[in-house]
Amino acid sequence: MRRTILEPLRWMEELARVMVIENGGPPKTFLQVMTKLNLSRMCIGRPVEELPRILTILSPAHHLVSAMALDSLFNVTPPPLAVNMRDALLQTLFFVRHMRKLYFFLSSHSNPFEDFSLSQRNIDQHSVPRDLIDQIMRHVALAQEATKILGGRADHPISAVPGGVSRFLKQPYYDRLSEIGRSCLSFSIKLARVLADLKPEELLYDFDIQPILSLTIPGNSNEVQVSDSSGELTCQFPADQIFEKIGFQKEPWTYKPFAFLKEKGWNSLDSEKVTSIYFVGPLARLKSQKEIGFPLSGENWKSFEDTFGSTPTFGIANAYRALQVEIFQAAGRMVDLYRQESLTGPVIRNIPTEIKGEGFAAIESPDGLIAHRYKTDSRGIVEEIEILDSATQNNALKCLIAKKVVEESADWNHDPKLTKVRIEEALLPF
Amino acid sequence: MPKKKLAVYTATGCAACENTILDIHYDLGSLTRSADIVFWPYVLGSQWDGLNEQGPVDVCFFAGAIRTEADRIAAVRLRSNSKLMVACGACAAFGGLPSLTDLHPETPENRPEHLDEGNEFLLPKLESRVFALEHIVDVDYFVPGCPPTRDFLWAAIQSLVYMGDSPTRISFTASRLPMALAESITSGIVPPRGSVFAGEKAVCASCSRIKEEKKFRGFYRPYEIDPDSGRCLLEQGILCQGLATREGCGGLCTAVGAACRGCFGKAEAVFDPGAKMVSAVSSTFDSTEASEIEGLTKTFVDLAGTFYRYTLATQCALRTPNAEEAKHAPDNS
Repeated sequence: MRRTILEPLRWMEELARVMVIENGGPPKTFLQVMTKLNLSRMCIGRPVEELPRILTILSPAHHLVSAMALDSLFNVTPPPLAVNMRDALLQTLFFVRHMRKLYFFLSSHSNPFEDFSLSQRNIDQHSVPRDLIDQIMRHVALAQEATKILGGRADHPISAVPGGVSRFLKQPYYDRLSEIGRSCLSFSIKLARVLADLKPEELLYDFDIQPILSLTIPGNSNEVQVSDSSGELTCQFPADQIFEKIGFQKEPWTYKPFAFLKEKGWNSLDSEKVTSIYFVGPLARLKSQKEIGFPLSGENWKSFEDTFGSTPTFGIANAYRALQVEIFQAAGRMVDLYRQESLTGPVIRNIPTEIKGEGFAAIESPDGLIAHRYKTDSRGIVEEIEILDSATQNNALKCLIAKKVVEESADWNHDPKLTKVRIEEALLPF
Repeated sequence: MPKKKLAVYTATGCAACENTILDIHYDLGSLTRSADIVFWPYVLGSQWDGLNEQGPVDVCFFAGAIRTEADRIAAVRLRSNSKLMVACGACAAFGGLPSLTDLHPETPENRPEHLDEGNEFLLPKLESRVFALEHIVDVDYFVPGCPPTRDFLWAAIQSLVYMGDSPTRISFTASRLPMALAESITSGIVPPRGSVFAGEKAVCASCSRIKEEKKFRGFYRPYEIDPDSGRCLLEQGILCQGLATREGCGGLCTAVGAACRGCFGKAEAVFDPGAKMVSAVSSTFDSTEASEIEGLTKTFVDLAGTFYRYTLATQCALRTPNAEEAKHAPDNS
């Protein structure tokens, strides 16, 4: 038996690697997540109102879904100002997250910290203009400033509380947010043009992924939609039933479990046909959308449709295009929500008067659908917690991607570094 | 001056500390004018073999807690390859949020299956508890916070990488650092080993909320009231840990109306942040009636999880691991 380990994988939020085992037959590929946070042990016994602050360790969007779960647990409705402020923060998180991914992707073949003079000498056919990469990160920094204004802190926001948000914005922030929103929108338009010229499929090892289902929560509905690989709806169910519909499979070779649809049963990842696993995130949303609300995105969607047909194929380059479309959407929503009239109002929060004992919320986060459910005692101390994060839901897809890259790179063990880069680039947009 | 070599690594935690370094790179000015980042798995995919080939690293910024055997090995390797080791963020400095798991010991039901014998997949074993970086290797400097603020991370970079010769001025940050540390940065001298890149006093010293008299007749959970925007949260009956926590964030959370939870660790003069909070709060009960005081204390919930939110692994006097516990490799197979 021969083991080959490709590590460390870049851009993964948790330490991860790919292990390939050869034992005579075709190589077996395993994507291993090497660390374990154990969220339930972190959260049980805590006062439930502290969870939005603790669970930001997963991602900033978990702060928001946690606060929404608390709205439900305390049976309180946030005022319009708080809803808008939370939504403005969420859209900004979309912008930051997707831009960072594009930054990583576009600087994948170079060292983003290289001296400018050196990087100019090393330009080859795969090089992306250094100025573009720098501009992306400058806009990430700008959007981070907006997340700090809206969330109190940039990477671990704190402003969402049960029943609303914790403070009003001060006057100077409105002007600054408007500036940031306009700048992000104009840059996203420019970026779309540049990316159209660069053609993602020529910058990476592009391939189609085997068809699997996808899960989304469209618009402001409370329904989870399950779509097939062509984007057609196969079934839907109320969002608050999601933890009954989804199971988690643990495997001995990774700390990250695999989410699957319970009614179809768990399929081994080696199966010829996998019917119960699914994925979430920008490409899932794009495939299930019939049209896009924001006009500029609509224009972008039109050119997208002209090139790729009404339903984008389930491939890696299209996953990057989905990021680009959502950057557009987010920037448009940011401009809209950053207006002073959207972020002003007489009340920032409604004070809860009861504890129902159980709270649930699910939203579309930048990386895909996420959901929280808490059960508490009568004092609001956490007794049970269920978390559905996008990394767990996309874990099976990521394993299939790693497996496919290894299988398709016939000479993968002659150039494992190239195989590793291909895997990293293919996993990044999910 | 030859360029310094930098390493950045995150063990168990999130990517927020690394993202803060990325933000600094683009927001405040290129990090690479005076330094080469030679090892950063998250961004550069740097391999361990490459680290050995590079020769010694000048400064290593290590983020994340020590939760697995792989984290421990990474800490030891980076320490042996680095001239200066910086614990970056609350997880590396104090164990951070991951150490909350130690409040609920592992049971047979939640014991991971991989711990069975014959693990052909070489998945790293879990440590018996969560450790901070200093439990495993010697740490030269600390940059606390969850994540660290850009100001102080930048101050650490300026001090240890640029040696005071930075094109970007840091007078604002320097004014918030202890005087000896600020002077060493501005004069290009390596700060005393063990320095913490944050303030010396408590968060209350820099929190902009007005403090008057701390007398309590009752406490509130944060969801129960909408506190006045300008008054001390603790005086309004919300448990805020600012008085036991090291200053440096400038009251980031309290400015947003959220109570401090101590991500900068204990203030210099505090021995144990939980004990300090219990002492401070209980000494200001506005009652001498035993039954009333007993009623008041019942309004407190989850003191360990609140007062040691980020520091359970290192600053709870009852839980500090002994040298043997920290030194030994995990034995949970």
